Amino acid sequence: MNGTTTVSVIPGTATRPSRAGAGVWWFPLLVAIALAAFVLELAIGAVRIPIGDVVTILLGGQGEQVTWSRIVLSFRLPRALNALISGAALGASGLVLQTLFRNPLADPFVLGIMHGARLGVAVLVVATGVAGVAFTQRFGEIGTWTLSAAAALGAIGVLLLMLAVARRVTTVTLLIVGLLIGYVCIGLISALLHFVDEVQARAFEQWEGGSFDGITSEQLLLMAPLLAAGLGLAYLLAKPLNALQLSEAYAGSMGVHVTRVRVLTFVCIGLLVGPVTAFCGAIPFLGLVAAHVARGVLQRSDHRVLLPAAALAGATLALVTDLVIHLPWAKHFLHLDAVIGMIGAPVALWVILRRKQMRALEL
Amino acid sequence: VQVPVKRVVLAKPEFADTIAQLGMADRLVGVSSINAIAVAPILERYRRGEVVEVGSGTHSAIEMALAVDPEVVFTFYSAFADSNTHPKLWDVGITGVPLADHFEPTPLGRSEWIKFVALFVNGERTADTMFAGLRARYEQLREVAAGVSTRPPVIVGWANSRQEWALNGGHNYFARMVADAGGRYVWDSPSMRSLDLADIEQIFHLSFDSEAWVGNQLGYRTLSSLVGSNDRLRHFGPVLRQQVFDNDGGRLPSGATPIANESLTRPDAVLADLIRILHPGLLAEPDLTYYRELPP
Repeated sequence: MNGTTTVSVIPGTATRPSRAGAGVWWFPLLVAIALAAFVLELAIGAVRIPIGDVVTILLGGQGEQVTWSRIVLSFRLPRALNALISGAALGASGLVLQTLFRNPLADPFVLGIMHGARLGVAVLVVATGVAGVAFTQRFGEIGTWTLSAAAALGAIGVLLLMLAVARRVTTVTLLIVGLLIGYVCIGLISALLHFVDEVQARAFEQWEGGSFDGITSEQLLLMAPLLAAGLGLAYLLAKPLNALQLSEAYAGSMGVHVTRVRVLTFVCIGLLVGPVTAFCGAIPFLGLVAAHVARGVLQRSDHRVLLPAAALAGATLALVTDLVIHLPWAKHFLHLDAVIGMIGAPVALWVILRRKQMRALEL
Repeated sequence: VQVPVKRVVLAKPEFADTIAQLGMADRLVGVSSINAIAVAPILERYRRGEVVEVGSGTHSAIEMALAVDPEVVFTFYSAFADSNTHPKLWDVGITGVPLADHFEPTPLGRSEWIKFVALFVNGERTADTMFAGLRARYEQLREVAAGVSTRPPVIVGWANSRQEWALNGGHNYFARMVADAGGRYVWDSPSMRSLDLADIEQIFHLSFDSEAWVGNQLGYRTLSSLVGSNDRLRHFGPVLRQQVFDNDGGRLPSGATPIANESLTRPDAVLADLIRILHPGLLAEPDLTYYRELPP
């Protein structure tokens, strides 16, 4: 791995031999887009606040109206920070999973990790509802922290299942196991939700609708170190992941302990995806798109470069999509998953179709 | 449909008290969910096994409805075509009748749907009497509230997700009821729908000066538990002023609330509650019927 003419053999992610530094100019471009989106996130929303007042509020002053300070500091700023760090975490997790499974379709949503989180919340909602007292009198005592804990437990449960299987099967089989666990979770959620009433269903839907909104400073303070640890661990795994791209046999011959790397990768994914899913709900597709954007624009396969790029692409995509959602639409209400699809899919397609080997790919 | 019908399924709990008041309870053979019913005669028939739960909207619900062989199934009408059950019922030869009372622009217009349901049992005279009585009581209360000197701003609805707020449209019957109670509904949308969605920051801004938040099945016992579900609610004006009300008064252990069954037959009682919330002391009787003030 000299970082100059590397060729990935992950199906669907193959790159042309390229000059060292090719595509690196994308870094400042993505940073600029992310920075612009972050600023616009603070300046634009359903309530029109003059940019001068936004700046005044951010500098510690008071806006013209008393609600403006609260909107900027308690609504928009935490949301933008959340999009930044959660997007980065999902982007990095998408890349790591695609490399581990050597599959361009792998991401936390596809592999059932987010469905595990959804199942955790569904079980909590149903169990509380059938405990003998009307759910609506109990839900208030549960609160967002308990829902988040249930989501994290669900996600970790799926990861532990996959870990248990990981020691016994090949990577391809493990991918199929992940897909099937996801389908089982989807089925169980559907069955469980037949037993809930309107208010219980509302509680589930309130958690489930993936969004960077509604995060508190306490939750951000909890998430930030976990996500930082996940990103740090991912970076430490960069070299083994580079070796795994070629094949597990090759990685083994290079001295990589494949099973240990798998376990550490799952721990990494747990740190990256668990907190995001717990506090933001299920956010599909973002990890997958960010990973492809990173591979596509850099045309390199060194994870020491790809990981920061995927994190940056994820953060940028999260900020831009969140900005689109919160533009002052008059009659429409857009949801994050739809906007990620609308913006992320064309970007990923454009990146993929630029590459001859991707166009020729037969999966 | 051959009237009077003898076997009815009700998949819209808002009409449960209407069914009972029209003397149709003994014709009821199914409800969508017994946990949404707080009307004694219907609960009694369920306990005797004369009413079954059929569910709503699913294939199993349609099979269950088929099993009880109804002549008519009253269903919820949705503006989203795919969410409607009545076309699926028609496909299997059952007369599904969608009820769209929740789209009405006035509370009394909504209560007139009682007359429509009465047609299925030749109960027009009973319905006319019921409606005349509730209209007289409603208009009497409205006249009392019309004389108020201030119209406090009011927000309704609930935080539907992390980013959106659900509430009645600005021209929906409930917005009119707030006005009839001497309040000012702060969501001035042109919609007659019972469910508008708005950005939560917009509702925060609009409701900051609101005297009251009139919730709809919020599902929380106290203000602190409400805030525990969504931390940003702590900044909302009515929460700061501890003026949050939920319409879960008289809730049964099953979760059913009387207002969910009686708001068509007793709009005057709902109006009286709103007047008591917005203008304490204006009515002689101070106790709320359907609403409950959330304690700290």
